[in-house]
Amino acid sequence: MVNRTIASEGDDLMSIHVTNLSKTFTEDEGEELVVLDDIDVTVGDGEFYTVMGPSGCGKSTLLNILAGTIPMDRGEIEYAGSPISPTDLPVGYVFQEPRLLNWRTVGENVDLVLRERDLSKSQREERIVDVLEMVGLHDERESYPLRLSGGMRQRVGIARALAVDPSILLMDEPFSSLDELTARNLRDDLLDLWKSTEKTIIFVTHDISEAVYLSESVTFLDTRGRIFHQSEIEHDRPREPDDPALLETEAALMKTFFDHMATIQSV
Amino acid sequence: MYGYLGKRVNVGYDSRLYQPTLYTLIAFLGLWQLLSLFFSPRDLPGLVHLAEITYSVVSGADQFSFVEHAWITTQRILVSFVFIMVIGTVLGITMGVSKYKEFLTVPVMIFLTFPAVVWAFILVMWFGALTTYFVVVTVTVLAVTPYVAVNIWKGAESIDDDLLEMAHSFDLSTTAIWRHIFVPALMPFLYSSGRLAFALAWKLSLVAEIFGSSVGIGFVVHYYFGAVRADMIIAWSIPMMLAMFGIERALKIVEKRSFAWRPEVDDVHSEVKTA
Ligand SMILES: Nc1ncnc2c1ncn2[C@@H]1O[C@H](COP(=O)(O)OP(=O)(O)OP(=O)(O)O)[C@@H](O)[C@H]1O
Ligand SMILES: [Mg+2]
Repeated sequence: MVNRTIASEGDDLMSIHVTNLSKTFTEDEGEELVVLDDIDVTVGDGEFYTVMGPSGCGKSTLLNILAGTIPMDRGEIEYAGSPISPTDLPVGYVFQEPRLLNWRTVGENVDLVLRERDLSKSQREERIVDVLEMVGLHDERESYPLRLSGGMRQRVGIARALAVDPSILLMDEPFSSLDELTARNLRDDLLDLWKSTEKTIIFVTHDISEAVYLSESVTFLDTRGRIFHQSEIEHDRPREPDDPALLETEAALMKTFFDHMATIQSV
Repeated sequence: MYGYLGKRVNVGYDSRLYQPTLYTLIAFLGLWQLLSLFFSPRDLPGLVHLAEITYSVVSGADQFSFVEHAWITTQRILVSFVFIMVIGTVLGITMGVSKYKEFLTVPVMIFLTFPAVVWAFILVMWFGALTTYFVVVTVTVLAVTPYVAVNIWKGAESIDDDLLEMAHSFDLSTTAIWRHIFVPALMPFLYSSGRLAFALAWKLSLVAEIFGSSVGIGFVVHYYFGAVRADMIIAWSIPMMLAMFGIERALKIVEKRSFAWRPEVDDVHSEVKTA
């Protein structure tokens, strides 16, 4: 089922290939929970790749594995043509909650992730200014997170992820806790960033319209931990959030999704 | 007395709230004065008499040297305080984050229920009443450390796993995680524990001195207990009470300054937890 066309394009040197990835959690009662079951994922260089699926299907687990925070049980990851350990993938992670240190200023929160790298003080300074500029928060550098709005805090989270200058941006439902108006602004800003930085984005969402609006490609995970569908979203950009053509695509994807869920439930 | 003063400290520097505090203070002193009319000055001195004998104590006119005894007591409180905070913090963090917590929780809880007086008697029997520091400091440390450990334990448990996950995803070092996540997250608990430890260390050092020492304010209080002089007991306690109140208050101000990141001052974490 997995679309292999991108992999066969020779110019995608920095693409990510994940093969036979599996992850099983052992729950407190000793029961085994298969969260990812032998999945294959291919994300092209600079692609906006979205993963969708019902709650608890393993979307965050997939991102955490790519971020190197939890180990995989089985599988291979290939990046830029050679095998790589997930801990070495050049990723920046944006979470559903901002996950900022509330006792550090916006600038210090960004600086935190830069300190571990071999950068001079002036290079760090330049990065901080750059990324805060990118997310439109250069005036809030000295503010403490709890004094900012939810949307601004999420922007700080994005700035922090951009600060490490990752080739790959992992985003786990980054806009789901924001009001729709704020979320729309942030989505447009994210698309601008994506276009200007040419980063690869692996984006997780529950929201089908968000997926269709943003992505080049949408992949569906099911509750058994398998990928059951992948679609290329080919609408022209810039897209309009309420464009009937997008709504049609959404409806078609939803139908595919519910049909599949019905078949696995009836088994 | 401490509860009343403690409440006043928590009010902080909001001047609107000072007024009621002032009224309460005046009412309290008035009541004191009124009650003193019905007792002999040796049992419950009037305010003027109390001020006079307190002054005579502090100025060295009493048969016991205030400076000498207060200095010893202060040293004992400070030494106990350091031990209490270090041991309590290490125990609390261990209980909160490590796999050894199962081994620690029950003993700490048992220690928590152990009366300080029992410690004092046991240690005096074992080591005699002549040690300058050992008995008093040990009693105080044994009695107060469990409170601090429990307080810090709650703090360590409240550290957000999501932040730690974030730290790992950005490859932060262990040092950075301690410095930027653990320590700041524990800060409110360290402050509240510190204030609690100070207040309790003062009270328990006094108890320990009464039973286990021949020098210190507790010893003098014990002497005047024998001489049936309640007025002298109060006069000897007042200067230290005021000093403790001042320290508590100073700690509170330092604490507020260091929490500039909080949108408004909330006292939820910093409330002294004695339970
Ligand atoms: N450390 C863990 N130990 C045991 N089970 C876990 C662990 N982490 C996640 N799980 C379980 O694995 C499953 C997948 O979790 P995951 O967080 O990846 O889901 P998700 O698709 O991101 O869900 P949501 O949309 O609600 O965020 C869930 O059932 C979850 O309870
Ligand atoms: Mg999730």
